[in-house]
Amino acid sequence: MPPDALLAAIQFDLDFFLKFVFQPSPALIGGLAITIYASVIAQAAGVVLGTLSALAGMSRNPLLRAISGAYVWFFRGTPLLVQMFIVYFGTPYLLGGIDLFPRDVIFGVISLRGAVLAGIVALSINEGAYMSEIVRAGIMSVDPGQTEAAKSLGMTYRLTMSRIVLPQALRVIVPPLGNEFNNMLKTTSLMSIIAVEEMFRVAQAANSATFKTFEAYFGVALYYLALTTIWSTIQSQIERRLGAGTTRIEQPGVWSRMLGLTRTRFDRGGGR
Amino acid sequence: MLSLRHRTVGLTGAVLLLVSACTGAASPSASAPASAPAASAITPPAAIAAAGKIVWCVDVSYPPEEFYAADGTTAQGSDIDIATEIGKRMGVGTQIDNTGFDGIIPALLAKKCDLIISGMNSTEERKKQVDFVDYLKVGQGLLVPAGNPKGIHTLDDLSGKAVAVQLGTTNKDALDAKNKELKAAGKPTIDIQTFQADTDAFQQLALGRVDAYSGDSPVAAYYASKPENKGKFEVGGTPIDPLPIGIAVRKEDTDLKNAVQAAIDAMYADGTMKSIIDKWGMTNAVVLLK
Repeated sequence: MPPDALLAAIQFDLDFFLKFVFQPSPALIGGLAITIYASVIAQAAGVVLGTLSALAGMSRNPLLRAISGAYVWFFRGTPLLVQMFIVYFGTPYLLGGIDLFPRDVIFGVISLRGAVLAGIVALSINEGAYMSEIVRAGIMSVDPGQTEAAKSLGMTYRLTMSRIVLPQALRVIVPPLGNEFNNMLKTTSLMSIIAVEEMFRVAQAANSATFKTFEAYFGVALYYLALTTIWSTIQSQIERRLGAGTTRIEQPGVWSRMLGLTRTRFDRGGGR
Repeated sequence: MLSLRHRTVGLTGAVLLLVSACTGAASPSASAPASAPAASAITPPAAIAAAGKIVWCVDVSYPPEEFYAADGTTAQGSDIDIATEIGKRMGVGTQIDNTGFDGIIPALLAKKCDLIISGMNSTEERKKQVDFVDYLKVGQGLLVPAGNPKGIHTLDDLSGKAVAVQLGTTNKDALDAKNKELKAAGKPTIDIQTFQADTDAFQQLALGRVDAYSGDSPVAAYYASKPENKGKFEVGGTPIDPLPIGIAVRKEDTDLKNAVQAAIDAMYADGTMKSIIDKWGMTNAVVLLK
């Protein structure tokens, strides 16, 4: 097709698109809220699960090591989408009719949709398996001499971990953790399949009502892009702060990081 | 996520019998149409004839109109039989591409398939995008737990209650429209839970997470009549008058549209349509056009 014919063939409803993006419907705002809070809760729970799993995996107790190994093996080795169906549709059958995810789940004053809770549970468990490996790598990056020194000072295991090892491991853990959260913001879209009204589901509904397919999906893609862009800015701030006084080279800024413009340390000609 | 699974549909024994009875051509399978020249009474458009098959976009999650057999890979149902029969009458094969309902018209427009058959109402909104060859009239049904504990007979009865429905359907549109009415009247709205697959929407009712399932009446009746569901569900009401469902075709494919229309007319004339409807137990749930 010649370029001008291609140009003439393009159908793009600019009015619909601009309205979809800049005058978001209450449904889209609601979807955005679900995307954000589900990401934050699932990531936080994933960090806790992952840390516990990493510590269990490195413990001297063979049973704990086996549990951690099996957990990571299963949840990294099976698709999240399948896990989500198992959690939401499978568990009531397994539990003989006991439904952990009814229409509304009430925690004290907070009422949550059962589907949202099921989505967050699946995302958290899955994320924990990945975080387990990240935390383990972080702990292993700390020189064993640090642990030995702590022991020789009479520190307990708990004290050694909380005061000496984990703080140092954090510097190695945070960059991949940021990556995981970036991923999480996008992966929440899988919850659409269990009827969670997150952003992607709202776009699907807009598409099926209007057939503005490209406009709706591209519009919601921009929302995800905005979220991950904002997160990248926050992440580089966190990393700068954590890295202060420890690295000789300047950390790449958010824009150069996103656009892949990072330079090697050599073309800066040494320290600052 | 909306994977397009490709498969050629094998004919079930029953359809085979039916087809051979109606056309006198006993071809062993739909994938070998060349061996059944007697059946091709209708000339397909050149592109279809050259391809040797019609590719259909079908959302295979809507029993008894389209669903998977126990093997999980063979698409079956009244729409599948109708599609296969249309191909047969044009002397070409049938390929069913499973496509999510909310993306099914875009898939047709993007030429991922030649036609859509998926229990689709030929609504004015959809007619802006595609043309239709109507083949049946179908109403909507509300499926509720046996005994109808919440007394749900109409859409108004759903005010303040939860209902599961498939995304992108006229059933969902009807609920949305009702919600606007309820809101304007200051009444509690319906909690509409939408699912990608209709079978998941029904699952939600089976798990007791919603008060009702909304689907087309043949589908609601089918779910209620499945042996494992006997005595568990009933059709609480049929809130919508029967509306035509049609085979969707791209607006520019007028030759194909005419050929499909001719095939449908012939299927009505020789009783094939009625046989298919009877075979899938839809006799009381649909209205024949002729």
